[in-house]
Amino acid sequence: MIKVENLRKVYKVGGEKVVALNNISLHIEKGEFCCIVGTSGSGKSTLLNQLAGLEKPTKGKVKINGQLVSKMTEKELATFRQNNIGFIFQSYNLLPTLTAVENVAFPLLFRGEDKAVREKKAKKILKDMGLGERMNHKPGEMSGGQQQRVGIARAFVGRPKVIFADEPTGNLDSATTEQVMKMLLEISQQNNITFVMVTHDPELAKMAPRIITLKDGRIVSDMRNGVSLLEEDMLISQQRSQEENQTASRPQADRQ
Amino acid sequence: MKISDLIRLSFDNLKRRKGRTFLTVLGVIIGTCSIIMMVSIGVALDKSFDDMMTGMGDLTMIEVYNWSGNSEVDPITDDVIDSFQALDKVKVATPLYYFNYSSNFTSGSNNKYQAWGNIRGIRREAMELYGYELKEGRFPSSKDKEYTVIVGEQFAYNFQNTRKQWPNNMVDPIPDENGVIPDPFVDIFKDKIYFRATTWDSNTQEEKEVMSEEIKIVGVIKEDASKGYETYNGVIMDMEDVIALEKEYKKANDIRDENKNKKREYEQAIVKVYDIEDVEEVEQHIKDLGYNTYSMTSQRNEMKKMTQMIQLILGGLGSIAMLVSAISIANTMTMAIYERTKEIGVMKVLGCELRDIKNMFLAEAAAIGFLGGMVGLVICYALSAAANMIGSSLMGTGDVALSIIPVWLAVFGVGFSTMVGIVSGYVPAVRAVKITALSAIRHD
Repeated sequence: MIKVENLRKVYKVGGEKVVALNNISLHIEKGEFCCIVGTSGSGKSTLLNQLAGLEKPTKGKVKINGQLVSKMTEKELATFRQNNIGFIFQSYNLLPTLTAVENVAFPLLFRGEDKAVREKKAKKILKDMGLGERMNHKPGEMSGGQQQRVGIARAFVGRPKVIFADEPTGNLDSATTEQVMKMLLEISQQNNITFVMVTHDPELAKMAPRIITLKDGRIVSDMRNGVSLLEEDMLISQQRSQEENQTASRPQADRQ
Repeated sequence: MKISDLIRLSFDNLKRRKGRTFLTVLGVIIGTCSIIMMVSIGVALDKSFDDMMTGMGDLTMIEVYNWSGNSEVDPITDDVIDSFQALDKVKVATPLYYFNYSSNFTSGSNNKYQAWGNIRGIRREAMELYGYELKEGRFPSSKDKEYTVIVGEQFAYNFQNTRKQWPNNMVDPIPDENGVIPDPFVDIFKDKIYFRATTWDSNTQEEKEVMSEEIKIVGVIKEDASKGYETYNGVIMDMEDVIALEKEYKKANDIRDENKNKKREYEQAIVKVYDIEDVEEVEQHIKDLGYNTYSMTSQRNEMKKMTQMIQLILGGLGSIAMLVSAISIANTMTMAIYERTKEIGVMKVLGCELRDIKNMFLAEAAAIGFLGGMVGLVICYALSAAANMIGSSLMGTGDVALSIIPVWLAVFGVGFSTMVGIVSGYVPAVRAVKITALSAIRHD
């Protein structure tokens, strides 16, 4: 679903080059729930921005669903996002003048859907998320957890292929964090949506089946269900299994 | 994005900043008012000119002269006039001719009553078409014998009683104490009236009659200043009759006719067209032939140009206020975009197309312009009504309007203010488009 090849991003800060991402390659499968973990400055947010097409890489390619996102114009990106991508922000980024329903229905408005149709969809998803009581409240009248649930509803309402989330639980207390995280896992798996989120919290990341750890702009670990996907690790594990095979077969040979 | 959503969103956003929106709209209101009021004064000026011109003369008439002295331009002969008459849009063309010598009319025994009056020659068939309006009687026809004429409204009162002393020798058409208008000395329809010429006989030391021709009056026409003084107290005669009368007069007075063998040349011709709109075309055609022309319409067009100029200047003055309000719209929109940078970023991330972002801000700016224009227009109608009320009470005349707001001006005013909104919102809107989606992520 998402394919990254040799991605490199260099920022120029006051004449000095800062390498934020260095030769990153990875592959995220359709319907996979993936956490990108790292300390601040590790490049995890930069990676997310490149994946979602918010920024252009210095080198390398990002492909989503076969389309080369890293080479799209602003205009193409807008249409692409409209149809394929959902986004969840750390600070929710709801429009303060709109009610919960209107906020959730907002991305559908860009697609030119009728007001009645999009609000019906928005209401349904809000109800599913347990916000039936809060539908006509404005963001200012809701708690952080509620606001983020509206934000999540907004990301899912258009049934995108991929959802990106930037520290979605960063502004929430630990109890709510767990709740929200479970909700994200559940909905994306139910709808077979590829989900990529960034977090600095390794404990939280452990809830995800796929964990990519970044350090100084490089992937230092990439685990799927406890198995490393890194090439060198894969080589090592291959060797190891070969060795195991050999050691297992040697006694037989000895016996022979 | 749907247009209905676009409009709803932009109005929602304007509502969010009520105070600032109000102030910006106020600027547009003032700008719109100043333009509409200024132009409305120009329109009123234009209309009062128009009314004045219409009162001054027949707008479908073109006077033709030959003042060029240029031998290449044909003198105005009957042939030339016939060629004018043959033009499509021409209702009637006729020479206008004044009898060249003194014209004395008499009536009663021993020429007791005498009158002076100009004789105007015009083609018989043109009299009615030219616009003479009958008050009494009829127009002369081709079946009439020579010297059948119509006279001006007050011609009858030209007759004086030569046997009486002033003031009893005259009757004026002025009502007496009882409101009765006295009758003239002569009943012009029944009494015999003659055109008479005399000379001074040095032998007998007496006036000697050399000519006396009976004149038959068949109609009286209404006075019409635009047609000339003869409609008041002159005699209007068929062109051929005037020429015949002049010939006879010359013979009786031993005046040599120098132009006897030449074609008759006229100093002036009149061309009347069917419609005011045709005047310019026909007049230009005649001008192209080398003749001099004069028409109320061309005068009016000159005047129109002048009033349009005045309107333009007034409108220009009004635009200054509009310019200021345009700047304030641009300022408001720029501020709005600064404040909403993050929101624009979020919209981009959520898949809002660039076109829609631009349109959203343009719609907001247009809404400011439109609101200002509409409110301004309503205020202008009130101001205009007030100005006209005060104006007419000051000048004492009821009809003169100081300010007129025609429908086109109302539409133009609101349209223009909306346009100003869009134009001044354009640069900020383009700026909004350039805001990167990344600004949605940045934490401020």
